[in-house]
Amino acid sequence: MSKLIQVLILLSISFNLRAKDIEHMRVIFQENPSTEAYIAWSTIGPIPTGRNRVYFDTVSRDKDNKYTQQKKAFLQKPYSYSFSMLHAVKLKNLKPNTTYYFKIRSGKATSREYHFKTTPNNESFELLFGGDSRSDRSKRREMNLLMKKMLEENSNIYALVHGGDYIANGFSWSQWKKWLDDHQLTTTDSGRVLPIIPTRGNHELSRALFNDIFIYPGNLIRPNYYTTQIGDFSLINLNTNWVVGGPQKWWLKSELKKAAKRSKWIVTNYHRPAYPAVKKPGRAKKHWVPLFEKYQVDIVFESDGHTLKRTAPIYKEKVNFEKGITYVGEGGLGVKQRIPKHKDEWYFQSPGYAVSAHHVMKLRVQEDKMIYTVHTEDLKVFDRMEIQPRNR
Amino acid sequence: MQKIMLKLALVICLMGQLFLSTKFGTSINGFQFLILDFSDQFSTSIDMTFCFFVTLATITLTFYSQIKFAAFFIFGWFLTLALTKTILHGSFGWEVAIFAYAARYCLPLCLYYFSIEKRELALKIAIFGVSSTFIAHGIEAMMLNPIFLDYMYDFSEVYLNIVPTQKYVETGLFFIGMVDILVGAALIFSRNKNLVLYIAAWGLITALSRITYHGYAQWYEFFLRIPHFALPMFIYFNKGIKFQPLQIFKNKDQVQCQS
Repeated sequence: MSKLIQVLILLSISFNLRAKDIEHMRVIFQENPSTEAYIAWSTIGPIPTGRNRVYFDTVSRDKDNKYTQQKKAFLQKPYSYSFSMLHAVKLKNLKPNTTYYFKIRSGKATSREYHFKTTPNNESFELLFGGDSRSDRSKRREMNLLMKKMLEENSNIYALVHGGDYIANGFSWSQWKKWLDDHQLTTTDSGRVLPIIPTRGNHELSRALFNDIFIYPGNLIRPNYYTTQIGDFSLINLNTNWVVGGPQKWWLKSELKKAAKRSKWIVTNYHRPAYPAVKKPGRAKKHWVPLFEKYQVDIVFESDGHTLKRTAPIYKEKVNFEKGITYVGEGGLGVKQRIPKHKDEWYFQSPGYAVSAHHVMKLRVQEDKMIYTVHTEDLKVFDRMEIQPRNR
Repeated sequence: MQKIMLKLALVICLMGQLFLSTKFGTSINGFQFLILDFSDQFSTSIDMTFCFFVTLATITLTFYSQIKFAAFFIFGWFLTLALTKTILHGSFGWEVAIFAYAARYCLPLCLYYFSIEKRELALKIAIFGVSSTFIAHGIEAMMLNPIFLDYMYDFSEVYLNIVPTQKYVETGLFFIGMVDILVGAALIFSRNKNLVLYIAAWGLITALSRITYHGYAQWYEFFLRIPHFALPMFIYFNKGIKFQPLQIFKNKDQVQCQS
């Protein structure tokens, strides 16, 4: 009897160890979140022998484990500057607006069942936006729990568009590890995952770890700038930590030209602000703002300043309610908030503002309008704005 | 005349830096706020207090350039800016920031030692400042600093009317970086007239590129890089002062000086 108990204890310990083998599970959306998704995770030590793959289905198979589809990890390598292993699977040819249930198997360890939803093509959907989750870990965890609550209460939220500066030192695996651990807090109790649409910030520094964690957004040809297309909604994610003029500007111009034809809504998102509340304006102002104005972008998301802001609608350096573009954001997902130095600048005149507040923004995309809301720590709606379609 | 040049350079450089600091804050502010966990208001107050005292020190040094404390205060402030930039990891080239800022923090020391007739020491400081700045910027260029790449794309498109390929620009910047490192290193060994004039001219061109790229609105970016031109010119005017090469970092007693 005592031997049986010992065996059971050993089995239970080994099960726990194995269960902990799969860490940092995340779903990443890049260019086509209606039909494609990356699932990535970490293991410690050498690549686990046996199967490293994702089993998935459009119905829950938690009880019988009879998943109809499986995909092998296409990327297995050590994370840069670490001993942990990265595994990534790319799911392709998914059905739009469909819940996918999945389990990860890595060596002998199997994860719990998670699920995420691909984005719809023609129906309304919501995206969360926010940036700067570095430096204040407890606040970051609080904000992640807040997003979890939002995800639990609202099945129409599909992903978080992170504006960059996830951690303070982009070379530090230990900081990334903590960020990835904390990101697990956004997963609901039922296993619903909040996919990430990533953007590079200045604290991500070198290309290596950011690319490992978010599986090379934009590929090697376009270093971390790419368009996320959801039906007739184009979200152009740019990289202010790379050449802002030159190839990125040329690409942006052609992308905006295409988006103006194919999309009703054009939204851009990047890290370093053109109309800042704290720091000096980034190079985006010189190279990208004239293009945003020419192609009449609907709204621009920025991060970096550690404040909450919304500018008045700006067109050719003046407030213009007809053709003007509103710049929102500045980052408050877990970083100490600053006092906005430039709150008296002309571009913050009413309806603009700049304040100190941790926040997450939400964009509801509908057929006839987009609704932008800002949610502070207490989940209250701090700001609301309706955006009508443009005549391009 | 050299003293006037150094004083002018210091005043211009500090005008740029002080404008930048008061309008947008400094890395010292960021360090206090994010690393030391001080409140934003308190960090800004400290930042502004430093700016005030640096202004006082600059005025003092302009009229009384033999006041050691004023020179060392400005030196310390610039050095701290570089150090905190390194600690914050927020900008490209943070690893070499301490060297990239060398011309700025060496300028007040150079002025002070020149004023008290320690010309060889002033020259050694100037050489250290210019060499370090050139080598650090060279490393940044070889690492393909995106800001430098942007300057090159912009210059080619706007002033040469050429749309360059990515490969051309990246190779060009890599080559420029290599030249910067070689030139910076060569200055430690030699004060050849042409070498020093090249360094001064390149220092001025790269400082001016901030104006051509950003426009006159960012005049301060040009102003705070004036030492990149002024210090090589100081070396040029004092190239006759002799000391053995490679001994610029050694104790002055070990150096055979001949002014």
